[in-house]
Formats: sequence, C-alpha cells, structure tokens
Amino acid sequence: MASVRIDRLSIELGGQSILKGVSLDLADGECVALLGPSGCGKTTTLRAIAGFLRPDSGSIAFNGICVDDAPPYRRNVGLVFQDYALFPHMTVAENVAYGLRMRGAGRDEISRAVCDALDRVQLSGFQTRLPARLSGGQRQRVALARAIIIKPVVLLLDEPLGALDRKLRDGMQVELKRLQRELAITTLIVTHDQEEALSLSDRIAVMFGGRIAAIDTPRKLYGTPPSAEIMAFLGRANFIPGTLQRIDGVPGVRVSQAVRLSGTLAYGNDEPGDGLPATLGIRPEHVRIVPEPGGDPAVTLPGTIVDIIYKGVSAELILRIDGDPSATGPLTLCADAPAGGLVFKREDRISVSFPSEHCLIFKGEPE
Amino acid sequence: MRRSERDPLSRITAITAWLVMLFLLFPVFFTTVVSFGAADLIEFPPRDWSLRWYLNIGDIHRVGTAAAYSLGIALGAGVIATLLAIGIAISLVRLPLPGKAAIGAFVTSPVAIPIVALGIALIQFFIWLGISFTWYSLLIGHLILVIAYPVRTIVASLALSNPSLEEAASSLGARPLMAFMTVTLPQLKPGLICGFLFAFLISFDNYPISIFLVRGALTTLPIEVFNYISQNFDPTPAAFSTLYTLALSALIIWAEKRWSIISLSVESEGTGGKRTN
Repeated sequence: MASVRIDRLSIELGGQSILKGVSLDLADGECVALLGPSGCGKTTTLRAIAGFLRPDSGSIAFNGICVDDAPPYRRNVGLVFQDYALFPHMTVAENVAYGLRMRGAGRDEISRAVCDALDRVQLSGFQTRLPARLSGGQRQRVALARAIIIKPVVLLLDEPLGALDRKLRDGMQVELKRLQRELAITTLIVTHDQEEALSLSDRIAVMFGGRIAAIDTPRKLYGTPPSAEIMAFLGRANFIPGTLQRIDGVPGVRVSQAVRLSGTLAYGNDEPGDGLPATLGIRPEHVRIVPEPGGDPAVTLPGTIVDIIYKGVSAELILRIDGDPSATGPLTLCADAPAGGLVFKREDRISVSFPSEHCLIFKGEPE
Repeated sequence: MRRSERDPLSRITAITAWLVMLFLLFPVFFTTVVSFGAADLIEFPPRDWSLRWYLNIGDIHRVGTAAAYSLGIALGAGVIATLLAIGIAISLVRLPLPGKAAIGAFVTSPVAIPIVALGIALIQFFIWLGISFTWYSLLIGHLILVIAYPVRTIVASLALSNPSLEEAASSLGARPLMAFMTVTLPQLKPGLICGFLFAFLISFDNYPISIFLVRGALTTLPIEVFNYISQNFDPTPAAFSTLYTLALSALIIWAEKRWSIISLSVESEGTGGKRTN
C-alpha cells in the first residue's frame, strides 16, 4: 500500500493556479525526489502534504486515510526546512525533544529517544549546544534528528543540500541515504538540483508548470528521458534538429542532405510519420570525437572547437558545427573528452559522430 | 590606524557625532553639577559643594505618594500596553488584514498627535464616560499614549523572526497556541522587553497628559516636581533629576546586558532564510 497517496491535487494561490492535478504515490519506505525548476509547484506540493496549504481539489491520504481535514499538528509529518528552522532559543537536545514533548512523552522516554536520534545523525555530545553555535552541516543533522524522532509517516526534505557547500554536500548525501535506508522511512525530497535528485532517490518525479511530467527511476529518466524538456533538465544534453526518416524500419533524424543519424524513438506507441520535424538528443558524454579527417561523412558532423572547459576528470569541448546543416541557425554541440592526455586545443578541427544506441529521437523541433 | 579613520569624510562624521553627543549630554552634566551646589539658589559652577539638596528631596510636596502613583500607573500602562501590543503586532505582521497600513498608522498615531490635543480629547471623553480624574482614567490615558512603542518594537521583532519556526513547531505536533507560547513568544522577548521599557519610562516621565487627567490628591511625580520648580529656585529638583537619571541608566544598562534590547537583530541572525519554490 502506498504510504502517501496524492490524488489529482490542485491548488490556487492568489488567483494563480500553482498545482494543476498532481498525482503521486510514495510506497512504504520509498524515497522520491520531486524535481523541477523554481516556481514549478514542488514546494507547494510539500506544503500541502505537511498541511500548511489546503488543496482546492484533489486529496492526500496517508496509509489509506484521507488527511485533508487534518491540521499540520495532527499529521505526523517530519519536515526539514531549507533553512532548518531550528528553535534558536533551545539547545540541540531541546530542539530534538520538541516533537515528543508535544506528544506528552515521559522524561525518560524523551531523553532516551533524543540520545538515539542524535546518535543516528552522529551528533552525540552536542546536546547542550545552541543552534547558533553549530555549523551548517550540524544544523541540518539536528533538523533531521528533530524530524525523525516523531517516527513520521513521511519525511519531507526541502532542498536538503541546498544550503551546504560542496564538500559537506557530498558527505551529507551519503549520510542522508544511509539514514533513509536504515530507518526505512518514506521520504519526499523537494529539489531543483538534478544531481541531488539523481543520487538520493529511488524514483524521481519531474515537475514542470504545476504538473508532474514524468516519474521513473533516476537511471531510466536520465538514460531514456521521455521528452526533450526532461532530457535537458536532467543533466546536460545536445539537441540536433531535423526530420524523421526510417530506413529498413530503423528510425533516424535526417539532419542535412548528407547526414542522417539513427537512434531510438523516445515516445512509445505514438508512431509519427516520416518527414515530420524531429529532434535528436544525445548526452555530451556519449558524443564520439573523431580527429580530422573524420569518418563516414553520412554519420559525422565536422566542426571547430570554440572552447574547452576543464572539469578535472573530463573536459567539455564546445564545438561549432560547420555550415548550417539543418538550416535552423548555427549548431553548437558539447562533447566530453577525457581530461588526461587531452590532445585538443581551441580552433582545432574535429568531427563528431553519434553512437545510435545513445541517440534519442523526440517529436518536434527543439525549443 | 584603519583606513576609514583617515578618510576626511568619516572624520567629519565622527566629530559631528561627538559634538551632538556632548550637546545632548550637557543638560545632564549641568544638572548633576548644580545638584551638588551648597548655595540656596541654582548657580553654575557652584562655589561650595554640598549634599544638602539630596536630603531635601523629601521636601517636594507628596513626593512619596506621587512616586507610588507614577510607578503604579507606569507599570500598569506598560504591562497592559505590551500585552495588547502582542496581539496588534501579530495581526499587523502575520494576518492577511485588509488596510494593514492604515491600522498600523492608526495604532502608532499618538506619537504624531500633539499631546495637548490628545489631553483635551481624553479629558472630554472621560468626563462623558463619568470616570474623569480617577486612577483608571489616568491609566487609560497613559495606555493610549504609550501603546505605540511596544507595537513598534514587537512588530520589529516579529518581522525579524522566522515564520517557518512556527510551522516547524506545528509539524512536530504543537497546536497553534502551544507553538506560539513555546516558539514564537521567546523570539519576541527582546521586542517585548524593549517595548515595555519604553512604555514604562514614557508613562513614568509624562507631564502633559497627566496634567489634563489629574486633580487634587491624585498627582504624579513629574507634576509634583514641576510644581516645586515653579515655586522654588533651589537645586532640589536637580538632585532629584540626577538620581532619576542614574536609576534610568542602571535600568537600561541592565536590560541591554540581559536581553540585548538595543541590538534587537543579533539573535535572529543565521536563522532567517528565504523560501524558494
């Protein structure tokens, strides 16, 4: 049974429709990331689950029981705010104990549970500190301990890594994952950071404009995104416009008179006809670089390196493709090359080819 | 030497600030010096020194009773104004009220209305109510006079406090009243104390409103001191003022040490955050 079921949730705020029928199920113990650009309605969804917003239509159920009429303090939801919202006048222990105190738990039970929760987030010994005397990462641990101590139906994390610096993020990421697995706690992470979503969640729900555009495992959504928009949002992507053309039943995109690139249709049973506009999508790490003079002119595009962005393990080459192959303006592509032994420099002439197993074909022209 | 101190503009600013400070402090200095004079009339600088005027404070007519009245009125007005101000400030900052700005301006308007006009209005109002020249009417008059101050300081505290704290409390199972008492109220403490102190001091010190609202045996300390001054020209009021200034300074220093009322914003540092969607 789904531990959280969101059913066709719609919310208007200030005359503006923020959520337009959002449906989402979280299985028991599952970690789902709600990923989308700012203003897409993901925080609104989180606030509706926590009970701070009433849906205009649709409903939310926890473990099969509708909670639409339950105020936030009856919902038993563990909420970790983006800014942590620790009570500044209370010590770490008092912050963590708050939820149990409100439930009228006994003194012994509370102190045992506080110790246990602080242990879990590796903050034993910080009981008497005030939040102002903690680092960002420690504050987040306290916020987590405070949220899990009430054994919530669902743990809601609002941009959990957003306020931390790079190094802390990586550590916290590992720890969040461990904690989530250990406690087998149903978790919803709201984030605009695709990396955060990819690394933390069992499934990702991509949200655009108040609707859920796709829900799937991180691997599937990244590898075979259902639309060009999702492909662009989840990671880096190249898009090459053209028209759809099948040869022996194998779909491909005709980019120019000379070049046709084959790939996989990204959309299911909806079979578009040949000759309609289509877009070929490929991730930079899959673009193959061929030093000039390049390979088969029917499947490669020649161009010039206009920039090289060094990234440590790899380097990102920015390429200007010769001419105007698809007559829609100059085409700029991104390709990754291993940074070790990088032989390229700016203004070098190279060709690129596109392994068909990594090429996805989307309907229409790129935006 | 830091660079800013060499900068001619900041040097001029610093000198101006010191001059203004001296100007403001001069009357206090003058009064204090005069209070230690031995002569029967005020002279500056005194030729001989004495503490006799301090012993003479008791000669101010009804000084004890008037002080008790003033203290009672100031405490009452301060406490009631602060309690009322909590509700007003919360409605002004947190509730989606129509015409918030107008309500805010109205509540804080006694600061802007001439006190004489306010006094005349109040006395007519109290006569109409039939409670004129009573302790209660004096209290209500002072309440109206001082409520603007706690409203302002509590609004400031509330604006600085992080609204997600209350939501966090609520998500942890606290009912609204509980969340307010355990989480919001402690955040407002500096504003409450600062507002109460303002209200208390302004009420305790007030002359013009009181003069409209008192008669006969019901007088306040500032009125009795003023009456004394209008009939005598010895330094007794100066001695009184010196003690009063000392007591006030001690009170304010203690409150600042204890609650950092002047640096209201320090506590909320690091907890205020933005919410993004």
